Amino acid sequence: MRYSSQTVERAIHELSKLPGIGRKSAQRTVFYLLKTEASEVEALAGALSDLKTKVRYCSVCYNITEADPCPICSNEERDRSVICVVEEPNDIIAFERTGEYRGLYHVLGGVLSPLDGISPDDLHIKALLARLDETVEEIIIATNPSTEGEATALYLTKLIKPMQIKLTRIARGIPVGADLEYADEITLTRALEGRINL
Amino acid sequence: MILKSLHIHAFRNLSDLKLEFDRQKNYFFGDNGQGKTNILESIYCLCLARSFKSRDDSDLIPLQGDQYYLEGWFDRNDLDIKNALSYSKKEGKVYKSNNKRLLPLSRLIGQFPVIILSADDHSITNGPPAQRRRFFNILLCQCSTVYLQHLKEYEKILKQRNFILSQISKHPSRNHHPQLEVWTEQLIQKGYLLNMARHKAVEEINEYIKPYYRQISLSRADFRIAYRPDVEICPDREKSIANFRTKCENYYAKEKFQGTSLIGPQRDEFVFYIDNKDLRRYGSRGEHKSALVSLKAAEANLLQKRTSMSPILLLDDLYSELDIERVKEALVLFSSSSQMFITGTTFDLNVMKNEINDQRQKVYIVKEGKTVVSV
Repeated sequence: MRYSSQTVERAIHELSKLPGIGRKSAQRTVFYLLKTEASEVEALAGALSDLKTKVRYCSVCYNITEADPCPICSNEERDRSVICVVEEPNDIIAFERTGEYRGLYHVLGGVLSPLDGISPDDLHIKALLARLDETVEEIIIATNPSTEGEATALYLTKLIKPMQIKLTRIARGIPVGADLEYADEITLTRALEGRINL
Repeated sequence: MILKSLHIHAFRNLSDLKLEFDRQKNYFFGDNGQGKTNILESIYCLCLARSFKSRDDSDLIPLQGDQYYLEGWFDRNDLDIKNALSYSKKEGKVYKSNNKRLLPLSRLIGQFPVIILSADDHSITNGPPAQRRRFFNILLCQCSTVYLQHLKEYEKILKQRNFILSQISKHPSRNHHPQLEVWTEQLIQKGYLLNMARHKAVEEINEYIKPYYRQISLSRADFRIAYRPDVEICPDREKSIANFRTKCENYYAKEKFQGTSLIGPQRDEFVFYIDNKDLRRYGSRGEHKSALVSLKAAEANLLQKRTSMSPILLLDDLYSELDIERVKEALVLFSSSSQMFITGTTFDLNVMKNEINDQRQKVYIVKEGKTVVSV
């Protein structure tokens, strides 16, 4: 339907382009914003436009950051001998929440997928190789356990193995806190495959 | 597993049907085109959320309707389960088990094991190899969700690898593709798992089909299946994978030229032998029919063993497959544990009248999409 205001129409159109937001939710949001104080709407608009002007990728690890290099790369306390390779910046957030990992990261920016036209040149693989000097002792490959994630892990293994650097892949298995009986068959089978000696 | 009752609403020519079933044998007799097979199809849909006849669910809706609804009460290991499946063009498919929506629908596979024997199944014994691979894939997926997952992943890997090879064949000057090697390695690892699962299933089925075939064909002939994997496998994992790798290397040039994968389980073959002669090439009509029925009985047995549930058997037009003596043998074979749904023509009812005197059964007459309880 057409709205009496072209501006409202445009706002709904733009909002409904976002993932997970349909036309109806967009409409609800727009009418909510119309009722909200001008200062709050301006704060939201400012936050959105700052995303593009202030946030960029770290030139070392390709994490999202405002200062280059990012706070993790420039933190002297972190262990510079380990690099954890992940697909996307939000994977870093997941690892950081653990508070257990003290090493550095490297974001690939995706996974290999010929059908989607993603080749090694589209990922930050060259930048990763360039980081591998004598200070680096271990690379942890933490891509997802999907077929594309596995292909990417294999590809990295092929490149890094000859460099005599310790190479590890994160384990797959049962989530902690979940009961075994609730784990699905695939996860349990994988957990069995990756069992360890006691 | 038992289907106790069924409610069909606006499914093909069945406008509104409420049926109660026997725990063993259920017959549907009627003239052609009355809706007998549609009842079997609705049961199959309730078990797997897909039809064995149409790919498109909109085919299942009557011409003047806009949605179908199926509801079945199952007894699985003495627990009552109500399953409901509906489809409309607007909402798509909605499956509910005990009023809880089930998503994704693939989670249903293996939960309510079902086996169909229909006229289309002749292609399993006399059709191209793809039909036999399809048969074994459906069987193994119902047996194990792990196989289902491996198969899905394998198909994804194959798609990616074929895309790489097609790119190379289009630009022959770029003979090397950086990703070919890693996708080949994945193809090998997953392909090996599929090979082993198929190998074990064939070994087990071979134990059952020999006596089954003799019983149904009323002969002394030997029926066996030979699994012919595209890449030879042996008990040693490392050696099998090495075989796979060598074959890949030998085929690289050809694959790059043709632009598609030429090796792997998607090219497996299963050869059926009766007394050491290839059924597909030399088998008579009767041999094909007996082989198919004994194969289905073996399938039921394997499913029962692997899932600890007896599958529901849907035997469409069994009487056109076998003569009356063999039908009797087949029913003895199938009835050992499973609930059966059998269709036949009015003529078959007259022939079977003397045979159908067992108390543990229900006989329905189907006419113009409606049923009447008979006998």
